[in-house]
Amino acid sequence: MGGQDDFADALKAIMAAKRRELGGPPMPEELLAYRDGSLDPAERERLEARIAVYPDAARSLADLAAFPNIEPAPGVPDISEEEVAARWQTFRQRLAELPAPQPAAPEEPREVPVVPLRPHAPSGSGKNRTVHGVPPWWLAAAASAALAVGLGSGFLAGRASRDPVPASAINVAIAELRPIEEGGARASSSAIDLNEEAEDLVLILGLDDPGNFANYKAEIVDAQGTQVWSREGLHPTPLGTFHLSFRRSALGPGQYRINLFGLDKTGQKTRIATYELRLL
Amino acid sequence: MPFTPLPLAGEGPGVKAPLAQPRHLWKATEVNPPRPEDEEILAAVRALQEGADPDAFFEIIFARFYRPLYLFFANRPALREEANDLAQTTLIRVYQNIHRYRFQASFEAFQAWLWQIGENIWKNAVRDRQAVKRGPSTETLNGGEDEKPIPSPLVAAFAEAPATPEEMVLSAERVKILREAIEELPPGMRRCTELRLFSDLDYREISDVMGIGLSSVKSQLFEARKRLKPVLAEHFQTVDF
Repeated sequence: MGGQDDFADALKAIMAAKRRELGGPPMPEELLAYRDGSLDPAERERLEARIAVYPDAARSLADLAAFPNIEPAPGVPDISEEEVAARWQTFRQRLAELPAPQPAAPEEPREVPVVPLRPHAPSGSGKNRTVHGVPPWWLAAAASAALAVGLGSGFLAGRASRDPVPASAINVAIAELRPIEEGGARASSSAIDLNEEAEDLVLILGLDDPGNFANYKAEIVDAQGTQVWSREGLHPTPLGTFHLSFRRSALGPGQYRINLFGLDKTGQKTRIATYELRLL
Repeated sequence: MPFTPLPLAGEGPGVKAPLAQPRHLWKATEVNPPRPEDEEILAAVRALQEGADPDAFFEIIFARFYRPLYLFFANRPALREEANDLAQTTLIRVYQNIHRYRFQASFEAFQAWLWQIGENIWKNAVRDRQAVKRGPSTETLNGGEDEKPIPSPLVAAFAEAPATPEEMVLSAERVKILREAIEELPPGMRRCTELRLFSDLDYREISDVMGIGLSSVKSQLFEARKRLKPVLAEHFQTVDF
């Protein structure tokens, strides 16, 4: 009977055989397509088989998912804050040699998206929140940015930049949703037309008063009533909103309902808002 | 836009298919009350977009993102030696393009934008390295130490140079039995097992790669061990994973 070495050797032998059968290691593009869910089931199955026998491909995927909380792989030395600080000193010399980037030109008026979502005007407990220990100018910056995105343009919605963008840029479609029942009136579904460039979709769930729960849970249900996603441990922003973001490829066109629950310390669930979303 | 079937993202028995789309597709960015350090980044981005001194503001971004970028590249054996350069190149691109970033009051959106640049640098680095070293053998993501050739099944099976023909046959037989035992596992369980055995990923990493919950990974591997051990016990002294 063999020992542990035999088991390890047998595993290596199997990996070698499978590599010969399945082909070379996956390229980054393939791993990103896998990560983004843009492969059909057969491609996905084939790629999973290859990923399984190429450890770096598997670890790359794990690191992609973990960013920025990446830990050093076995044998890779970590880097200390002092080393980062030292590298900044050399980096800033590189920066100094670069031409200063030009400040952004004032934005031209953008095309109105399919659904101009109502501006969010937080009220009640959400409006008066403060974060202890945060310098006021930080909060002011965040708040002014939110206003720039939302109130300033009259809507918070989903058109990413139409300017030519470098390949390295990322476009995020943003939409703010309001609960479907507010003050006795039923709001209509928010329809979002994701433009071609949008890679991520960020949903901002507006809420007048999130109440005072230990944490919050959101779930997304499709038109057939199937729960397609849920997540606990959410907390409201200082503005009283909740943010969810998704890869564009993860949500197909269709009608969705988003339920927001508050959870007390015992885990008891209370529905506090429902939103409707239609992706075109 | 093509419709992509959506998996259940919960854990445990509610998960319909272990090989459903990765859960991190859903990466709900819980922008729970923004942390001061996140707001500091956003303020720095805003200031840089308005033409502020990079010495004063880009350092904040560098200090936050250099380490994860460096580790991402350093964790790739093929790119380890260039990890510092690649991390710095990523941050140079961030600096050069920061004015094109459409500012939002979301730390996660900025982080996603920055990481997109990092992913592009990674793709280009692998492609460039292939172009330089293109040859009859495939240049791989598994560069460096992982590029050491893995012996063929028979070579591996005979690595210990068994003394007798009977032992050689037994070694080859063990490889065959192990492979068949793994391949007979249900698909999801098999992938979890392969990632554990071949890539030595921990539970969290397997969960991230497969897009299933941690508890699901644990139960799949528990069940795999239960199924494999009796089959393999006759042939291997230790079946440990």
